[in-house]
Amino acid sequence: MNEQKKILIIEDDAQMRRFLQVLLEGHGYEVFQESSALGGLEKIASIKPHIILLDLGLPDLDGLSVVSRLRAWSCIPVIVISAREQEHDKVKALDCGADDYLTKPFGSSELMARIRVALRHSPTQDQSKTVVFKSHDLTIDFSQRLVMRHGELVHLTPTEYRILHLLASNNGRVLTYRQILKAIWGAQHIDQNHYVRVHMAQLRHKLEENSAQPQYLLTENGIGYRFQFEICDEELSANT
Amino acid sequence: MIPAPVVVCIGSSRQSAALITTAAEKACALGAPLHALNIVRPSARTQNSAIEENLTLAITLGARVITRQHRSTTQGIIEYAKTLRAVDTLFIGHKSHKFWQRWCRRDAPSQKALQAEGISIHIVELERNRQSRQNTLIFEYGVSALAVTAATTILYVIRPFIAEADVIMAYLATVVVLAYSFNRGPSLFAAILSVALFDFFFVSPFHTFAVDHEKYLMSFAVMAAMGLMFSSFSERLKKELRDTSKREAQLRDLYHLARALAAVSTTEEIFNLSRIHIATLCEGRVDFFAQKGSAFTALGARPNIDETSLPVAEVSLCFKEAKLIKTTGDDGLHILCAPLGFEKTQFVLVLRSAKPLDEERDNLLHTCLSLVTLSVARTQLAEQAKSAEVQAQSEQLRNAILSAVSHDLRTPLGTIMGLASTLLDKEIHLDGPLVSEFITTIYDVSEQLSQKVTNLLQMSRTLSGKLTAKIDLQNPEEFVGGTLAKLKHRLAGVTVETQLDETLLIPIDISLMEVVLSNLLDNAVKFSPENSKIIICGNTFNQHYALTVEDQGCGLASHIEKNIFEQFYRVENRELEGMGLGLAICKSFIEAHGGKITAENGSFGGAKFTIVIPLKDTLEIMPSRE
Repeated sequence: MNEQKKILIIEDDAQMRRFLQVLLEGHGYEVFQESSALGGLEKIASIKPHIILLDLGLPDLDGLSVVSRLRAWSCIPVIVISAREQEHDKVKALDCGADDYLTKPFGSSELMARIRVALRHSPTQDQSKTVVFKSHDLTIDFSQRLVMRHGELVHLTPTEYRILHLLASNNGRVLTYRQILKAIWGAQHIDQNHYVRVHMAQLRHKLEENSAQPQYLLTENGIGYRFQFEICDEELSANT
Repeated sequence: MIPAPVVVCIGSSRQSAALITTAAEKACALGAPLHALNIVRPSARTQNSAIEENLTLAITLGARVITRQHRSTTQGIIEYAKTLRAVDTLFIGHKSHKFWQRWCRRDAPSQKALQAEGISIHIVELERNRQSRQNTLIFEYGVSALAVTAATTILYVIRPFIAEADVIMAYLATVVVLAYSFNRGPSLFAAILSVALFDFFFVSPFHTFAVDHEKYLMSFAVMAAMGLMFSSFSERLKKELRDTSKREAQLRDLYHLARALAAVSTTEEIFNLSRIHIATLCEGRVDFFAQKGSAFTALGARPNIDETSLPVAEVSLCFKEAKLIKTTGDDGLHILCAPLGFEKTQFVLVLRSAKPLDEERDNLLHTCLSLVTLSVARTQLAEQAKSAEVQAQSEQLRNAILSAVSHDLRTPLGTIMGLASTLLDKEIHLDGPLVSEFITTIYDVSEQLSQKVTNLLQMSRTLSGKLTAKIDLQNPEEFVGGTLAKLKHRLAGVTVETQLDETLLIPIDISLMEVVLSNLLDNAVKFSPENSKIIICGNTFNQHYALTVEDQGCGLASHIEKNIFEQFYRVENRELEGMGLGLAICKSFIEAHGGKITAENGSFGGAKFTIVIPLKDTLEIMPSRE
């Protein structure tokens, strides 16, 4: 069996902490809890968790400050939890270095999926990057730079290819508009979200069965995009 | 826009002072800045003390003094006028110079020259002051003497052909004519002179002042008396005429002020109007002040008139004691502070004028003050009434929402608590599937509760003030797809079909539109049977983007198509959940985009909701790293 993954929950609501603890321990994680931001930051240094669940509405310090402080010295994956309608805070947290987000109220399956993804992409993992994505209708092979749908070759423009590559490298993880724009177009275009939208729309048309109800290229409205590929024959790295 | 300035030329005569005051009043009435122009001859050694005095007066009345050097006064004025954008009125004193005096005064500005340059002159007929009065009197005496002498000469020449009575009549006629035009002094002088000359030339013994018949004494007396009476009458009539027309003008001004005040609705406008009218009526400069803490702020629009010193002590005393205060400023101006206010002193009117306030102007001022007080009170009460009405309305709405909330949140909460307490009940044994079912229901109901809370929050956003849409260019598929993904659980029992055209970007606020679409889908599910279809179509046409949501449910009754967008409207007799806020929210959100939402019955028998939003002009060209 693998080493048990350590999760630190930084959340001020006691019932929420209780529910998370039960859920996560049930899935085999070792759970640590903190109810304040400053306490949480201290604990990170001492217990060195594999992943952190951070509530954005903490009383002593706002979530954003926690993320930026943490990122100054650590790459531990962080999933931020926020109440609804605070899109702005979520985006800022993601741009600051958080890896993913969850909106209250959320279901347990959503949480577990996010945690799995965050751990998979964690820098501490042995980075055997998936190069081939294969499903029943779509095949993407980055080593050969080819994309096939229903057995037929799909032509992507260089920009589309780069976006696809970026998203796939972060399979399961959300990427903000800003992150995508910065990676593909450079820092000076970070406010032109609709550039990304247009290219994503074209990508969806080329790769998806139903553009409005996509399977792989998911839109997180107001935040960015998420590539979701449940890999059938992914080579699991030694640590998972 | 600042109106063109009023320019007054400063002269050395005493009449200039009156001219400056008149110009200041006119400037105040127009709301225009006042410029006092002083043309100095290069050869002049020192400033004339009279000019100094007049300059000081001009400054006190708020004028901006401009000094120019020029050999010719007329040319100086012309040049200055040209530097200004426009001159509304140029004040030059015009004294009734007779022709032989004009050519002596070479430095007086020439009317003709100025008019030739296209500058409109406003000639102010000044009241003759004492000095000019003296000049005029001398002139009138002279004319009287001449007239009487001339009459005598003529009569003497035609003496053989006329009777004595005619001579008397002729003299009387002369005296009457002179009395009509001239002052009392000269006419009396004319009467006496006529008597004397009549006596000398036409009464025996001739060429002496003696009389041989006493009857002539009566003639002399009558002639003198008539002269006196005529001149008195004439004088009195002239005075009455002047007074009447002045009073008429004042009444007209008051009438205009009252009418104007009745029409305005803000205190700012009231003060602007009153300042101008009262300044004209009471012949002085008017300012209104309000008290803010320990300082006083001037009210009403202020054109570029130089601020003169505020009589702070008097104004604060006026505020404190709420009574009229009259005083004289250091600069010699008469200051009057009057309190204004409905129940307490809210404003103070400060009148500064060169003339002391006589009884007539005092009455006028008080009438104006009452008018202004009434208008201000009326405006303030109207504002209070309006805000009370608005408050009452929002209270009503808030109460309606609270009661709706209370009802519609308690129902699902009741369900959750009921199910949970049943699960906890130790006396009942529930088998596995039933437990699962209960727990699933608890989850579903919680989800719906969450949606309702969202709706409520959205509603309060709309009601709390201006709802501004943060519009960005969004992809229709993403917006629809994202919303569908979020409602996956809710839409589990139906099939959703999307038919969106190739429109790449539409200008929308995605968070608002998500709420709209969620509400429409929620309604569609609510009123549709299991396993039915919901169809979402989107296309561009004619500079607009249309999005329709159509279901296969029970449809809308024909008369409710418009009403369903009203707040709290609920379809009758249906025991389904829903606060009726959903569609009202949709409507206000769509309207925030400048769009429209309509409802009708669709081709599948169910309801069809259509959202239309306007498209902006051009889409930015995106760079692609090809």
